[in-house]
Amino acid sequence: MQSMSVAATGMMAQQMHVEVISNNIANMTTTGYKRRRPEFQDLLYQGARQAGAASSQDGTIVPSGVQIGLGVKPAAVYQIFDQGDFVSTENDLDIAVQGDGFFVVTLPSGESAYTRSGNFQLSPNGEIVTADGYLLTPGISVPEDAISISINQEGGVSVQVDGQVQPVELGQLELATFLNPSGLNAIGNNLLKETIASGTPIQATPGTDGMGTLLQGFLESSNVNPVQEITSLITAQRAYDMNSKVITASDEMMATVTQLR
Amino acid sequence: MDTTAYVALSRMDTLQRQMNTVASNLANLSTNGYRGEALRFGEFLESGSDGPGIAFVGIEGVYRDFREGPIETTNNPLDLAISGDGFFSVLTPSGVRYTRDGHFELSSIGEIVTNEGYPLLDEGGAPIALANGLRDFSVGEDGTMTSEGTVIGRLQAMGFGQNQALSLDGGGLFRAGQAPSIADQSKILQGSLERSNVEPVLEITRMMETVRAFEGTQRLIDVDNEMERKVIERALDLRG
Repeated sequence: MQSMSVAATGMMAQQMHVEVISNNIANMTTTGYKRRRPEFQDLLYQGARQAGAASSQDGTIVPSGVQIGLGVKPAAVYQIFDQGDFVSTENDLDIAVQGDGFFVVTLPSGESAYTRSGNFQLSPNGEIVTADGYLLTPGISVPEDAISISINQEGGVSVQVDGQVQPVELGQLELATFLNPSGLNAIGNNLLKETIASGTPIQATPGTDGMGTLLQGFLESSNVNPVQEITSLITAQRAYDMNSKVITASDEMMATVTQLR
Repeated sequence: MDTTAYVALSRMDTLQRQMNTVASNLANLSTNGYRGEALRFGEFLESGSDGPGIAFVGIEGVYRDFREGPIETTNNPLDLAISGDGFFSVLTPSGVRYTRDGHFELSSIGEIVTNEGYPLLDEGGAPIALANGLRDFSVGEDGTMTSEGTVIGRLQAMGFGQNQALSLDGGGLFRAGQAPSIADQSKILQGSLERSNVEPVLEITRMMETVRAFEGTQRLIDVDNEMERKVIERALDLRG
């Protein structure tokens, strides 16, 4: 019976739905995490009678055909890039982006990756790096005798050096945006990579060309809304349940057939 | 087998198909813009030579429920929902198709596209391109699209005189054999998605009904067979 395989596609889709939700909930406290949502589409249709087919020689036509659906398939899991809440950390190297834009990070392979997660640290050589030790681009080296680092809204980095009155300008941070950020490829560790779908990165100084501004001493928390996730979880679980009931019911019908005498 | 069994068989066949539509509706509970389907049964009359005709049951058509599904707020600027009648038009390689699934994305060249990459069309039938991405992109209730303060076009829901005559291509895309007209009573809501309009309670009830009817029909066949057997036994008795 076809209804069984149709219900099976429904169960698989809901299973994926739950997987996406659980990943969102698991990343509820991941800095800079953007929530994901699955998108489903109906599968092909089996046509037994075409709408608009002639039903007689006199030109009368069938007003509505017989097209029976064959189930559902996952179409996409996309990221939603709305702003997460800001959390004050009072850490000099915690930077949050307010508005559009990603930090640019150089991977050990030399490729660029992009992240919204602004919890940076200093490497032994004084470079600003991510929690995994990847270099923030453009690279900035903090001298050893610096006593405090300040980063302004436009990404200008300066340090106060012990014994000097004037702060020393170290450089300028840049952000990157994409036409289609949803098309970025997530590679884990809060990092995203450019794809054909995302378009090429457009780099600019924070606060210009529609780029967001930087906030020192803050982190952007994930934009997962627990209430929303739990509601979706309940819906997904019920939908899973119902699809499994269809399988049971189809089985019952098959059993009926075998009981025919 | 005689006619009773064949009539019952036609019923069992249609019930299996009905089960299939229930399964398909429930499988698409989370499909945005999905329209539930139901079968319409009809009778095929065979006029008997002696007395009343025999009515077999068959499927006449699929009735698709075009009522609006629940609209959920998502705050995603490229999630659009149509409140009221009508469809979004998208350009596929095989021509213009219509959909109620209002989740769109931006392509790498800034065009608004579906999950499959088919461009969304504005009221003039042209793809919509956002030069600067999603920054300050907004869609008014009447479908007017603005990007960074300038109006870049207008999106309108396309309606049809006969929704039932639309056929489905899968992937939420409807194919039309008729010319669309602008559904000017409809509103476009940005940051919202229209969910599937399948009502689980109704479907589960229909599912139970189908199973029971199927069992009932099976019993009918059993009873018929039983009668036939008795007739044969009686006939044998009489001979003996």
